[in-house]
Amino acid sequence: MKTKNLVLLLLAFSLTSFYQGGYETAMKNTLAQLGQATTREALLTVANKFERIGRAEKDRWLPFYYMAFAKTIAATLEENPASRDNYLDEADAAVDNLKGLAYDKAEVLALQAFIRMIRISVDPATRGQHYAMQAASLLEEASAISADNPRVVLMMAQLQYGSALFFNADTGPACDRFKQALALFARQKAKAGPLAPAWGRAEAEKMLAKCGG
Amino acid sequence: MKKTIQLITACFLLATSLAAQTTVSGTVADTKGDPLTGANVYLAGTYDGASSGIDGSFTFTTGEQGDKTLVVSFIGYEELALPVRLVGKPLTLTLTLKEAIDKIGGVVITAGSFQAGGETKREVLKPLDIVTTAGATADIAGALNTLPGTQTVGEEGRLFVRGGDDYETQTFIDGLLVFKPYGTTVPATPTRGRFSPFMFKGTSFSTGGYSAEYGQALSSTLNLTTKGTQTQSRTDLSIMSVGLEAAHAYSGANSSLAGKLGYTNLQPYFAVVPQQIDWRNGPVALEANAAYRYTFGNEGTLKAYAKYAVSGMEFNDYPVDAPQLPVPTTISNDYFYGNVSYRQLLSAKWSLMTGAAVTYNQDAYTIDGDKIIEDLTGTHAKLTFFGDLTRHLSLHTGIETIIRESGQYFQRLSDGFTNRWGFNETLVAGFAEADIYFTHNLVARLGARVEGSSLFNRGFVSPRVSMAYKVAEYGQFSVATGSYRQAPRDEYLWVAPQLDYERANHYILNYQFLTDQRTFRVEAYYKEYKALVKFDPDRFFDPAVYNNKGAGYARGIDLFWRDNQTIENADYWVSYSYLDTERDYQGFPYAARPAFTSRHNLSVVYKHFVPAWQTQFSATYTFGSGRPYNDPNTTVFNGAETPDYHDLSLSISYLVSQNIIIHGSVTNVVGRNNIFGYEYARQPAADGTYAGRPVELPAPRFIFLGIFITLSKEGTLNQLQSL
Repeated sequence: MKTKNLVLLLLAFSLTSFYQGGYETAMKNTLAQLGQATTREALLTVANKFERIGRAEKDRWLPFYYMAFAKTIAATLEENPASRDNYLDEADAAVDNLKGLAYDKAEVLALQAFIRMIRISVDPATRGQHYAMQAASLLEEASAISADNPRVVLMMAQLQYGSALFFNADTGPACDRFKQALALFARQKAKAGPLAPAWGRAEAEKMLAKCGG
Repeated sequence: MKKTIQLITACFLLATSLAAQTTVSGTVADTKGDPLTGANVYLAGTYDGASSGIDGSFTFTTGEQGDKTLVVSFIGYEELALPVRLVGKPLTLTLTLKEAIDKIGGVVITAGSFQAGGETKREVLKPLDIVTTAGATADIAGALNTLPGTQTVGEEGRLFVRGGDDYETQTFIDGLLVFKPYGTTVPATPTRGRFSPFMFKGTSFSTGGYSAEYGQALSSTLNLTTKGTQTQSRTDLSIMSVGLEAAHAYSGANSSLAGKLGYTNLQPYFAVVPQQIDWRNGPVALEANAAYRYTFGNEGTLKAYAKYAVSGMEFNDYPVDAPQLPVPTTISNDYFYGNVSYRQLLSAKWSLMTGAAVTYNQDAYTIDGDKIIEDLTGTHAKLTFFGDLTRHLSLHTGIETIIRESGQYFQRLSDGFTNRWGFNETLVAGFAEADIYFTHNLVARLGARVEGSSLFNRGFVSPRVSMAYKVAEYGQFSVATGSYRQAPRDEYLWVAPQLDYERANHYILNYQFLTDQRTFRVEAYYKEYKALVKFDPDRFFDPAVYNNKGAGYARGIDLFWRDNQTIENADYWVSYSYLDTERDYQGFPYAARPAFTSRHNLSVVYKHFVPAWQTQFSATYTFGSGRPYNDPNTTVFNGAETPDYHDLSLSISYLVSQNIIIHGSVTNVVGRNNIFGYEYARQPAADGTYAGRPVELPAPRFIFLGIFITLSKEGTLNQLQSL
């Protein structure tokens, strides 16, 4: 009787760890695919994969987070402004799935700000003000939670850089922020495991190169 | 022990069988058979699945066994859930997705309406356009007057839509009625809207065929949507050639509070730019605005707004009957508008909106010692529900009440004669409107409005029907028809409370071609007027001379073309309206063209942004063909016609830095002397002729200069939107 219980327990444990391992492995694989996706189609395929994981794992936030991220990057590769908006709508819808889940709020706010900033690109003259304000306030909130999150600082720098360019103002302060972001990326630790958001370093380096030139 | 080993073996066997793979493949297509790329095909509750490729095909393997649900999801299509049985044998599926009825990207009814919102691509005019259109002088009506369907009535500054008089357009803020939306002004001087365009994030201007939600408007509705919660604290300062403004917005966690003070004084301007009016004290106005917003999570939004304004002016009038004698005249105005609205999400499919607005207006005139005081208090309260009954049917329904009190007091200096007349009205109305989506490309809106008023002691039903059919990705046809009623002008009801509603029927056919960067629309309409008020102007004080026997019609074609694609950094639009109208109303002896109408109206608006200079240049050319006027020296009523109207206006906006903008504009740069009509003496001179003189603007040009400074924490905000 005792052995039977033990076996059942073992079985249950092995199944759980199998599933656990399944989630980690699936996410790692999909993240690797995300890292290699350079076309819109590839990004949308990856987004679909994250969505499948998200739908199966009802209490995890990362799948939908990455789904939204992949759609946002897909939007940046889209030429047609109206379609760009569609991808961003889907990205926002993906973020909506996080309602009721425990998640890293600063990371999600930074991503939401990122979505707003890509929205500006659809029609800068009309939307600039509206979405820049939204992005700024999302980042303000994010920064209050985690001032040393490199993606929060990167997005703040991007926003500042964009408006400095638009108004022909000095990009110096924005560039200082990119430096700060890069330093934070260097110190970024694998605090929440290998699946935690870690993107943005290359962008910070690229922007700093622009600042230098 | 042996048993245990057996059990463990069984477990392993189970695990092995779990690993037995089934290949699921197939294609995803729409109902027409066209392949869908990028659809997500997966087994519910697992990670197993694939995205469909260019040819709609997909394939994946799964270790799942038994009865499962296959889910196919794709944006813009209805999600498909298909039971499948997995037994290790390859499964091939042909999947068809039905197009979801997408109420945002799909067909929409566009007959009669112009949307101007900041966030969707559907709008024709964006909020920024209202303030950067040259000649509009940052006035909402001024900018809307560059759209087709409107009439250039340069001496009024109000909206005259499709042969309709100015009172036939009603203004709403967040769905709530605004009485007296224009400032009080002197004759032959264009008025301005009381509400600054930068309060609003969206403008919906309808030139006919509008929803059953709106009553008491014969020709047109203007619905303004205020901005939501301010997300950053900021201070705005404006120094203008006509006055000063200071605004501050405080942004909290879920709320924001904004206030604005404005002081307008035209005297310094009049000292520099001579006016034909003999001003004793040019217009001076003081106004205060406050706006409060509160957001309850994602479910509810509370908006409150209040405005108080006082203005006054003094001048000498020279009536055409005795132009040598100055008549000292003073005008003062007190105005309050308050509005509270609340929006709540009831469920995933239903929302409610409720709100109330109060307007108080008092105009006091002193003309050569005689006093006239006109008062109006109006309240509008409304409760509406909207939502989806099914995927193919949306419903919008509500009730509202309007309570108003309007009157005029007159006191003559010479003999102390006084008179007061006025009326009270309580109006109750209900409306329901259903949007029926037959397909992604065909929608019909059926609605009706039931209204009853204490003034007329009876109720009535106004049906409204519209339909839209999308013929191509960018093109669609709309039709609309409906019956519209409105109480006669207040000044007639003061005297003759027995008057009945005025009525109009609209018939509209519209075609619109809309891409991201270009809009083309053409709209033909016919409008018939019935029960218009007629009276004998010589006996305007006698209730017996008023009746509802007037009638009329207006028909025409409106064209609109907008393009911000062809020329880089430039945006232009062209509006043309043809109007054929006659009516027999007010004091007309028979049917004739009203004095505010012209057959042909044309507006060309061009804006060019030069990034290197951080400057936007804008030009507007407006043309209106001659307007009728009545020359009592001839026998035909309204038989004479003014010369054509031409106006070229220019404006320039320069971004000095991230938070400072300089804006300048000049109307009628060439200084053309436009004549809007003629006014004649009431009595003939000794030779039997009536003396007349042209109605012109007090100065041919209006010049505006302003500096706008914004102070915010980040220093990156500006008043771009307020220009």
